Amino acid sequence: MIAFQKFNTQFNFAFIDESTKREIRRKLLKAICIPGYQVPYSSPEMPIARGWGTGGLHVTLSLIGRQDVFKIIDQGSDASVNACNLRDFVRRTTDCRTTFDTREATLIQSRHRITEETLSEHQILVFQVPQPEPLRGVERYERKTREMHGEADYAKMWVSLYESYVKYGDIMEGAGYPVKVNERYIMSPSPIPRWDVPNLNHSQCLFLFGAGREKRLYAVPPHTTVTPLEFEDVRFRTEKFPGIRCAMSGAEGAFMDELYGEDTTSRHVVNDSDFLDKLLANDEPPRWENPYLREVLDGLDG
Amino acid sequence: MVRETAYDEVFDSQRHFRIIMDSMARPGKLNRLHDVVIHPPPEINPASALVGLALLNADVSCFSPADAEAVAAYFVANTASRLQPAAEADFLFLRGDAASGALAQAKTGTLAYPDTGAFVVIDVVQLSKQPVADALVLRLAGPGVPGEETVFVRGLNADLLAAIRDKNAEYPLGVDAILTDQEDRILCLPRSNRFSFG
Repeated sequence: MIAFQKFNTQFNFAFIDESTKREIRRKLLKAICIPGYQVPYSSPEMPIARGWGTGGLHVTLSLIGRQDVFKIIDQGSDASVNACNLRDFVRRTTDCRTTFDTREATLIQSRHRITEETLSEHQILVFQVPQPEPLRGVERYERKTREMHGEADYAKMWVSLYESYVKYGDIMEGAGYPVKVNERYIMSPSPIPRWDVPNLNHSQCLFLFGAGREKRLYAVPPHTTVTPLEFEDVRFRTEKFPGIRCAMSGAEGAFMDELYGEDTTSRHVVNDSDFLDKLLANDEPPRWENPYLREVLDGLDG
Repeated sequence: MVRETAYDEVFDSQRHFRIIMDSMARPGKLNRLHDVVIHPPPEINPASALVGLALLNADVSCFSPADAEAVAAYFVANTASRLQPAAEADFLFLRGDAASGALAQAKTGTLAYPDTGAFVVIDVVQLSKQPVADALVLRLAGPGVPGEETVFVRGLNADLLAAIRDKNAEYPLGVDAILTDQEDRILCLPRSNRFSFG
């Protein structure tokens, strides 16, 4: 019998080889030491294409141990294609327990959302980042953006926000609203909605960001100041869903998806699937504390 | 030279890295690194040796002072890390009672790539959240610290802390320090930390 030998080798625990894991781990430590700074890293080959969550996966796989309980969400959902496939991959290469329950998870990988439920100091949230460079829109060369970050020269960024206001009457950045971390680096929070951005500020948990295609890692440690860019007279605002209730739970005051039916009617449903499940089970999960969310929730009571 | 055999390169290094990362993300928190029996040379705290075993490999270089050559030899044998002078090494393993000469030479990175600054692992006698006799009082503030944390450090030359502060004065340039004590506690001082001591 002819055996197919070429790829018939054992893979390491958590897929990535130990030497590369160490490299990623050292870079993660540096990312934590310099909050908001983008650390270049090796971005090794994975069995999925770069740009499909490899950055998050590199971070997850270098962190994960046998005791971890792993959760992964894609745009708030535990059940979409990206989440299911990456969950399956992590489970098969580590044999870790996986969960949908935000409270139970110790390590959460996310594509473009922060959970509606608050995260504790025992949890780590890993983001998949498509474009880590917030200045790319105003400066195309990496060499130049590095220099701008090094010198904290963010004039072009401020001008672009101002121009946006002059042209459209508002700062038009939607998902991935630029933030300043620890009063030093401007950082892209990955394309999370504005709704989630204030939750980065002084959190209990550690946030790690991995951009596989762009080969960059960065981090926001707990208890770190993260402020969205705003002017004295043009303030940062989050999305509002005035008068909109979730069609499944009847809830208000959460980030909503707009779903269209076959008859072109639309309805809104809470975006975070685990949060929705808990609302349907009448289990009130603890929320984040931030002034923007407080304002929304206070408005509901009135 | 002892070749470590009990140390599990996959699972021990993963667990220890998570502890080091937790300390780095929360300066002022004392964690412990002590669940593996290893046989480092007497010149180094076992917890410092575990930090080295968790993070070093052939891609990075390490340095230990001339009076602790066994430490460097230990890491070369166990991690395949390279030896380099203090001014070029990625990891410096220093004693808390040493002068600040080697530390003053450590790499701090460049403005475009501040992550090329060195890690400095320093052995002290005791780290404690409770006051202890003849200890330095270290007050930490900055990212990862809710308000201010106080740690009492015994067996650390104040010149080393002054040297770290000088190194980190031009943030984001700087060095990132990991302090370990003889009871396997670790404390991290990332360059983003604004600490004072006395």
